Amino acid sequence: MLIWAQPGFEDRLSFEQIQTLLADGISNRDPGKQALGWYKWAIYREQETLNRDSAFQYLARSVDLFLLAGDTTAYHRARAELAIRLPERGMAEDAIEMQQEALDYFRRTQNRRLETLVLAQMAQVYQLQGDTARASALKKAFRDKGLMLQDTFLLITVFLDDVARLQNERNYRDAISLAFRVLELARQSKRHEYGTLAEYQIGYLNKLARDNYMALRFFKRAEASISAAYDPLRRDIYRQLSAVYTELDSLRPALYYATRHIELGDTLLSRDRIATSHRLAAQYGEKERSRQLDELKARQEELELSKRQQRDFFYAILLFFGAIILALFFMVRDYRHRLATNRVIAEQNEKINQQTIRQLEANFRIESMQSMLEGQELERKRIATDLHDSLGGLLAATKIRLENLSGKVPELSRNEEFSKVKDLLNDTIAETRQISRNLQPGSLHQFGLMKAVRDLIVRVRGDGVPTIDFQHFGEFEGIDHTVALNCYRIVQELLQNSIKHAKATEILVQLTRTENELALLVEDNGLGYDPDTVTKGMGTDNLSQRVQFIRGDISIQSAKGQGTSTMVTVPLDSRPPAPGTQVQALSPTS
Amino acid sequence: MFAEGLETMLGGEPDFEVCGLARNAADTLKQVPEVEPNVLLLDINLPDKSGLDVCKQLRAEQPDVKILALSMHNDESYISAMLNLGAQGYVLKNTGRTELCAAIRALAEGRTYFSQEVTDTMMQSLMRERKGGTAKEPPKISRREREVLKLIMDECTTQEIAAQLFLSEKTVESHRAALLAKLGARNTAGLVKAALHWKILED
Repeated sequence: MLIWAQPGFEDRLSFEQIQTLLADGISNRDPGKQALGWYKWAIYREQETLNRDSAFQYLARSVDLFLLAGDTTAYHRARAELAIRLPERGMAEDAIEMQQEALDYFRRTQNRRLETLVLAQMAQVYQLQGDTARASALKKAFRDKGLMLQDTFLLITVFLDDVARLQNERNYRDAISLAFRVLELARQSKRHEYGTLAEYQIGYLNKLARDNYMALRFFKRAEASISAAYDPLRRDIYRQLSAVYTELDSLRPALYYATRHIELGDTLLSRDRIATSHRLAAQYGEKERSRQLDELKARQEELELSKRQQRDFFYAILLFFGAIILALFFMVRDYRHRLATNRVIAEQNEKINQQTIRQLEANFRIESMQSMLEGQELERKRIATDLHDSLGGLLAATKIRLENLSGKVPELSRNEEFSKVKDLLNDTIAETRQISRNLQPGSLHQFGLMKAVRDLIVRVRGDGVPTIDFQHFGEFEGIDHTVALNCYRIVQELLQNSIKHAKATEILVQLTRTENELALLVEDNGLGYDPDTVTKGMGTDNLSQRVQFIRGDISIQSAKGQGTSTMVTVPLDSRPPAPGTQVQALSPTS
Repeated sequence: MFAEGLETMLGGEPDFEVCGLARNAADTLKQVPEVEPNVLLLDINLPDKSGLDVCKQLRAEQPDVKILALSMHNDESYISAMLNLGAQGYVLKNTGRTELCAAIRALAEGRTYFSQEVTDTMMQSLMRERKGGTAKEPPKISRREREVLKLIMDECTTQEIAAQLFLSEKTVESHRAALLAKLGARNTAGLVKAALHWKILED
């Protein structure tokens, strides 16, 4: 019963939460946590990609792990869920048998809630087999028992089920009032993620019922209440908002949400890909590290053994030659001396071993970070190129055509609506260029770090407020592209911090290249902060990861009211860390 | 698609004749010597090769053709690269009909042309920038560098400076290297000399 008390099993977990759960379970070798993680992952992936095959495999793994963890209740629950995916594999009988076992177990242990939930799962299996009569009987039993138990989660499940049914019957009024009850329940039980779902549902039903203003209101509420940054639901909310605004003829917000929707779609996919490569890199690193750790341990034990043997041998000799100690005095002293040397050597070896372990751990961290950063950059580059080349080209062509049209039909250029369309198109072109440029600094590859940074500064100046001085000393060509790209991002991030957070009015950006070092300096006269309290913030965390990745050093001086001065130095003689073979295979660097 | 739109647009102007249309760099390099246009509208972003390379090659082989760069990039680096390679004009792809026609006429008459947004970008980049080497006015010294420089003038060692400013010795060394670079000095003596010359620590 304990596991049900834990938050998580019946919550709608976000992508990040599931990833954390899995990572936790794997690194702590906790089969229960892993099992729960795979269970959640299966359901999440299935909802997002509609791929029931992979969901089946994840669920199967979850069942095995629950068994390993000795959690019988969770084991039966996961099996009952797995069973729903068996009929399509021609194993309908096994499915019902598994669910029956679960049902019996929950009856035996007097777990009324789960007993009731299994009824709903059985109904799904019968439904899949086409046995509608049995399915609806089970569904009714589930409903009645669920209502009787007055359990929030069950009630929410029952009501959401009914909302879907009413929506199919086009009875939107009743569906909406039921969705309001879900909202109420979610609020009472503080299950906010179901609250968001209910708000979205109410908005959607209103949209179906052609009440666009109400729909807009609830989609907006859902947007405000959703907490996960990356969630398919968030993407749906954006899509619906864009659709509703289009219906209401508010094209500007419609375009805004359409853009967000597209952005988030890409982000979700790329996050998935990055997470997968990250996980694989982690698993590989874990295996490799434990193998090396084992080897080191074996070597240490060997050393220990030989040390003990030597000591025993020494005492034996001492006893045996006790009578002629004097004669052997020099010999013994010599032997002692050797022993001491041995001990020093052993200690040193141990120190070196420990250092190797630390080094391995650091390398492993850098490697997983590398695959993440590389994946991110690759994805950014792809999206930027898509935006710039295809969308940008199309938009420019559209504009030309529009101009041609107004040349042919002169009265068009006097039409107010027509000039609005032209303005809107101009904004769209500017916006597209801005997004693409933020994603991938085109000039970096073509002209090198210094010019790319200069373009960045010119752009920021164009936006207005701060005075930015830019100084550079030395040659910036021939710097490794990965180093240059990360340096560019670091400057970008520091500039953004100075302007957005520190509200600086004067900024100095300085690049210095000496023979074997690159130094970036960003200094502002902004608000400043106490570095000790902010070092764990999102921005600085990302920053220090990048710096660590290119084996640089970061030094931040700041105090409240005294501006901030940040210097990053990067050694140029050593190339970025060589990736492990596995990682290399996953992230093409070309 | 963009090129065809342009063709329709420019075809409507009485004093223009669209004498060729190329879809990529190779096609452009083949057609230009054949038709010898007065003005070439050159997209920087070509499918097979960079427009920068095309500009460079044409400048050498066909010096009489005026080149008007068309680009989505409103970045100083692209603009000055194109100018250095011999383009006479630079306009953004979202430039309107009137301005584009004005640009083509300007180039045909032997003048140069930059659209308003491009000019703004150029203006912004001319301001407040300094390179290493010989300069007529003192370089800007950052707050940290000023503190380090002051302690160097007080004859402190790297170790002492690091301790006083709560920095690592490595960071102090990097600041010192930056100071040497920007003051054009080779060693501490040169640093002190330059600091006195520019009166850096006096204001």
